[in-house]
Amino acid sequence: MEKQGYFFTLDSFLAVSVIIVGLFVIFSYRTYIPDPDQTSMYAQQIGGILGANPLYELNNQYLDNLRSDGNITQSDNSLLEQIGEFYYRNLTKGCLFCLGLANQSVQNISKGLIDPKYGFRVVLENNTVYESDQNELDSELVVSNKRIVFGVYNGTESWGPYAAEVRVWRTVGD
Amino acid sequence: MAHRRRLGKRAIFFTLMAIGLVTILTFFFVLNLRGQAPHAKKIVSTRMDVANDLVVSFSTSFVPLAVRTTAVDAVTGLIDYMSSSGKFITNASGNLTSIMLTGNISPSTRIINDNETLVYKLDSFVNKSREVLYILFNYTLNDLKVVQDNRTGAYRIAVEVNLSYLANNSLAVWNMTHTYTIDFDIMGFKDPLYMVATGGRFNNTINRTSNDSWTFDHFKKHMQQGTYKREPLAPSFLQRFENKTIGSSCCGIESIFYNATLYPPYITRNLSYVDYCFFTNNCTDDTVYGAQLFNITGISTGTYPFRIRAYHMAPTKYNLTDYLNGTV
Repeated sequence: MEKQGYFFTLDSFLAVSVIIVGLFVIFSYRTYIPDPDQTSMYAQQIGGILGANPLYELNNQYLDNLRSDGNITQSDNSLLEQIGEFYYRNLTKGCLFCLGLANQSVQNISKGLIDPKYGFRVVLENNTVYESDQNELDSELVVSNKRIVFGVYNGTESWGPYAAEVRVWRTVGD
Repeated sequence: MAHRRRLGKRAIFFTLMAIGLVTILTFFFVLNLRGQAPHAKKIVSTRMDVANDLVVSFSTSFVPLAVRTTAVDAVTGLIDYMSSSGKFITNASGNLTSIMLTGNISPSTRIINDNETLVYKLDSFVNKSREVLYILFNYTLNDLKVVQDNRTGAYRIAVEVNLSYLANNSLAVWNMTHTYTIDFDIMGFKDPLYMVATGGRFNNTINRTSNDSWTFDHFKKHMQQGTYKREPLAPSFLQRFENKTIGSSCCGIESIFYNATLYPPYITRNLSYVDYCFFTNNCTDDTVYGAQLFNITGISTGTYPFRIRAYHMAPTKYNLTDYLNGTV
């Protein structure tokens, strides 16, 4: 009879061990998944910086230069709206360097602002305007922040509405 | 018997332990479920924010911008059309409304392109919101009017739009009706009266004078620069599309027809050089002040035989009575 008592006790220890190991495996597995809340929050922040903040609030030398050489005429545009205007000028005014200005503007604004653990891409009307060095294909979670942008060029010509998207991802292993 | 009782106690212990373990597992499971609920709430909240931002953006930015740019295109297009056809139109406000909605003033007369009309711009927004954000947007244009009245004053045009719109993101519905009054400057447009009346020989761009009081020098500058001043007996900007000479008490404007090298047939034209008097030969000030014309010293010459009537020379107008150089 005493042997049976030991047997049950050992059996319970074994069962508890199996459960603990099981739980450990389950929770360890969960920690490998990038936190969607954090990436989503980051996507919203980047979307906000690019899509909601007026250019005059972005204290940036490159944008100041574009303003002084006449390529940016409306400082109350957001950067996404300005990119929309560059895109419109490229499409309708034959401005060959405008997409380059759009790319450089995003690069300059994001410099030092975006955590290198995160990659991001700005897409306008299904055309990639800017993509950071981190490869989107290496990520397990991509958060997309979409907006509709529109505006007026030269005070009289309306452009858009264009679909603008900011895709943010956290690189694997970080 | 005693042994059985001991074994029974152990069985109870193991049973309690098993219940305890199941409770712990259930606890973790429930915790995990609760962890998911805020995430779902966040998704709903984000979708609501996105839809609300879109509705606000449509109402406060897109509609005013689309109306303003379309109206400016319509006015420019109508002036160009009148320039090429050489004809005045009968209902400027109605024609501008038609151009803004359809691009035409008649089925065969296209003034602006399809993609410049207000309907096209609103449709583009509706389609984009459905394709990009999966928000169903519908709108109805209940009314659209182009006006100049006491609210706009002489140097602005207003477009009044009554628009109902409905946005549905499958979580909530925004159902709104809003009346917009969007006004814009007439400065920079070509004056249709000059354009049609002179057969395209002379153009004048609407530009407001900075003078409130008048001296001879002020008048000369006003004349040479082709600027406009408020005048209740003169036609408004919209009336100038129709060649109307009935004065507009709220919005009448006038300039002085001036060109150093005047078109020869005009030199013999015995009319006041106030623009609407010169082009329509119908000054509404005649009845009170008479139709007598006067030359002005320092302005009237052989090549520019400037003439003006008493009404416009008065001290409260151009203040030219001290410079009279005989009657014509």
